[in-house]
Amino acid sequence: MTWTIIAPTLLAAAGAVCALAFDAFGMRRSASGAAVAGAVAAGAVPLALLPSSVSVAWVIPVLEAAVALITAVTLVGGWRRSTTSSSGPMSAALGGLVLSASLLVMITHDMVLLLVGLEAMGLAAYGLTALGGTAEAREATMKYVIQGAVATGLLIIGVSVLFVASGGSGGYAQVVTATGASPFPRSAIALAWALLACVLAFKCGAFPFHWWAPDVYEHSSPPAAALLASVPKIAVVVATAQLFVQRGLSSTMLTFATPVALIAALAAGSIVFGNLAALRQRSMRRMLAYSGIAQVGYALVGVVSRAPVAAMLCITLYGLAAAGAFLSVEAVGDGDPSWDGRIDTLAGLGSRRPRLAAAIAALMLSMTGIPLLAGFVGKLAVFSAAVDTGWTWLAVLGVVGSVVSFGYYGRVLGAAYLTGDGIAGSKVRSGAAEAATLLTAIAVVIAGMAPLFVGGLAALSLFAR
Amino acid sequence: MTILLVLVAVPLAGAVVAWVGERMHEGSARWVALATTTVQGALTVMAMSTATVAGPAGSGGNGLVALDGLSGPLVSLTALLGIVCVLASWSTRRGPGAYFGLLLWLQAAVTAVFLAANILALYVAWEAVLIPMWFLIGVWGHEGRRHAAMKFFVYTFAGSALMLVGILVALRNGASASLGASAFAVASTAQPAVFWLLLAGLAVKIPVWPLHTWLPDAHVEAPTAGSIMLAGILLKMGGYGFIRVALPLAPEAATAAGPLLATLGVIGIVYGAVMALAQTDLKRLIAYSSVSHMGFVVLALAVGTPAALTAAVLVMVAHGVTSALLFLLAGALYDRTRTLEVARLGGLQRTIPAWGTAFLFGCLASLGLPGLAGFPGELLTFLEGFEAYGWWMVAVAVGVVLAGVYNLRAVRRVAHGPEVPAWKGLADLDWRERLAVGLLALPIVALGVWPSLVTSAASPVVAALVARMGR
Repeated sequence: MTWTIIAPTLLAAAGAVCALAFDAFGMRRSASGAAVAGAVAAGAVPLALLPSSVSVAWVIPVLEAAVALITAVTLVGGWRRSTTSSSGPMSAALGGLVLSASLLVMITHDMVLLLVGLEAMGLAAYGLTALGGTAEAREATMKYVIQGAVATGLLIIGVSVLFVASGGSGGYAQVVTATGASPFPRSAIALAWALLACVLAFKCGAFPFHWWAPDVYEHSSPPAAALLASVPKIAVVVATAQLFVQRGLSSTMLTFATPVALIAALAAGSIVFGNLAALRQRSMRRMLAYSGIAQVGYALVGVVSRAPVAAMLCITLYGLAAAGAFLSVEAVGDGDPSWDGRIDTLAGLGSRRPRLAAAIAALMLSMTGIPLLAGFVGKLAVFSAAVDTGWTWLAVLGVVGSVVSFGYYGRVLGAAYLTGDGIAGSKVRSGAAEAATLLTAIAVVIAGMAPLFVGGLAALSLFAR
Repeated sequence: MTILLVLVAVPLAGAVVAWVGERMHEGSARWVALATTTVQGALTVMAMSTATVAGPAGSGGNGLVALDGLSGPLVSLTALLGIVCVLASWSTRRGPGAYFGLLLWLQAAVTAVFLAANILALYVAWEAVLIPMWFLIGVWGHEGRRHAAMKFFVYTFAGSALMLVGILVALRNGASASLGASAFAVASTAQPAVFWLLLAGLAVKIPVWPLHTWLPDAHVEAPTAGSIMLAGILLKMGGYGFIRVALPLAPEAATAAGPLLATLGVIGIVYGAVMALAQTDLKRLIAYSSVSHMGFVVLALAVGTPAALTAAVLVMVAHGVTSALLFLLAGALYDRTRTLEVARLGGLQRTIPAWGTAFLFGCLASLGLPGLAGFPGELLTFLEGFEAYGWWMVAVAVGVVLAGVYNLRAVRRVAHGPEVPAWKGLADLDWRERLAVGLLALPIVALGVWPSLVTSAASPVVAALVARMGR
């Protein structure tokens, strides 16, 4: 029974280890293949073990599968890199490790395991960033590592305080109950919770702990960025939702501002800052990085509204589209190696590579939150939860942010379709990155339309009630 | 019920067939589009004849779609303009597969807006309109298309996003998701928030002055079919949503907002007319006249009596066919002359007599000549407004006079006067353009002499609605 819970984590790690082993014999394709196989297996196990009737117990296994399959798709999207460069198998293995640690972060209900998972995730992410290879990538890694070290310190302090205050139990629920009755000063406990919230905010790149994110996403290779911008973010938001949406949590915080207020501030700040900063970007990847800050903000609105499932749904559906968006950067670069990565120079993509452009359009519109695409489902879930719990102003801020986001997501569409008409470029062979992008776009469309067909609009109405 | 779902499904399927068909056989997309819109038209007639036209939408049921006397006229208008749009785009050369596919997608989405019986279905359909329209303006539009497409999208998306929050707040405060539910109004304390949030979306669409600034750009830069859909249908979504959603959800807040809305409506009427007077571009002139005509709709909605709401529906349908005719003619002219500068045109009545006659007819309908579509609705609005707000309606009369001035001046400058040598050999309207003009002229006359075509359908529904609101 118990081992099946940890099986996805182990399978992903096994894939990574096999990748390293194959690499030792110079078998690059097998190495990448092993990492992909590990990720797919990690996704298959929770799906195979789903309880027979649909219930809340489905949420985490389904999200595990989603995260594992997103990882597999990003690894496939990075196939060209991981099979041609000498560091390729290493990045595939690190991808598997990111997944393994992320799965641990998602399933655990224990502070100590959370700490272990977050640190493992961080280490793999540092490595993956460094493999970007350029001087900028190394600089970004340094920034990431140093800020990560501070975060680790704070995390350890926070966890230790709660651990001691609760009398040595690390389980989320036990910590909440035990610290409520603990003789420790309330302010110390509240501070520990606040530290935890800040560290988690750092790990998912929320404002104002986001400074590493744009550099990391811009200078790691696009497939690595696709992985880093989706899987760890999903995992951390899932953990945050599980940790902070617990009965009795607010009441243990009588003497200090509740962590919910803190998370509300983080969410609002992320939405405002992420959107405004993304508007100013000219580079596609940097735009995606800043917009990702805003997207984490939307998901945190779900945490604030005590709607953990909504928050998890929101970040996962975003992560899916974000992975596709970063992979599309790789796909565009595959076809046109001279592309400078700027949004404006995507001009004419709609006529040059109609399929890829259509996929990018679907991904951008999904992240904007247009109905019938995945992103809308997630945003609807969190915003309706916000309205339901009296956080209407956060919902308004969120939808205004979504409108602003069309300013930059729409710029990509505008470049691809509205400029550079009639430039029929040479035929480009479509590679793995394009295939992976298309796959995510199809998933985004299916996930967005599913509520229409599965149980009709009743599913949407459920969220609205 | 099933036939209503088919009404939405047919254009969607047609969109796919048109897109795929064009790849397999060049030139097939427009025929697919024509067949699809014709079938949709026939199905609409069937649905209208079988539907229980009285009673609020979906009363008694929790369905996804419903047809009643309020949505019926607008669904019919959509079906008619769909055919006209295909005819107007017959010679589209650039990517016809994608073009007609998007046009049919737009058709399906708009139909779904009018048929939706569930508030979230309505919102989803409402937003689904945005993307095809963005592409139609942005890719197939004129010189300033990129800017116009972005402006259109951001304005309407900003409005509708706030509308979504309004819907969520309404659902939170006891509204049912079903648009036909009897206990629909939300708690009094929540009504102002719901009303103003919903109005943000509706007012941008209608458009209510001063939120109209996206309209001239979008109408002018859009291809002909895009302008027809924008002016003919998309603006009506705002008025329809007001009657269908905002009024029943927040009747008290709507009553409180009446005087302000009426003021904005009257400003819109006069402002649109004055701006139309100042335009030198024919299409821009028609665009501003839309602002003026939709001002009547806003005024009627503000008054909010059953008769005024019926008048609002009547004005919407009348403006739908009239503006479609004018944009169709402007587009046909642009195809030939590549300019719509009024100063460079002249004497077209002699050069292209069929076009000139149709243009005169369209302008007469637009200025509200008795016996044509524009007259009864605007008159009824005026009378109801007079009842409610008294002599303030003099301002509306000024707007009506100005409508006469700008319309007749356009006819005089464009169709009369000395012939311009450059346009000597211009070809007159061809068979498909004449067919499209005929399709629009017919309802313009019919509504003028027999407005109860629309009012008999709409008035029982709005009467029931107003009665339910307890006004």
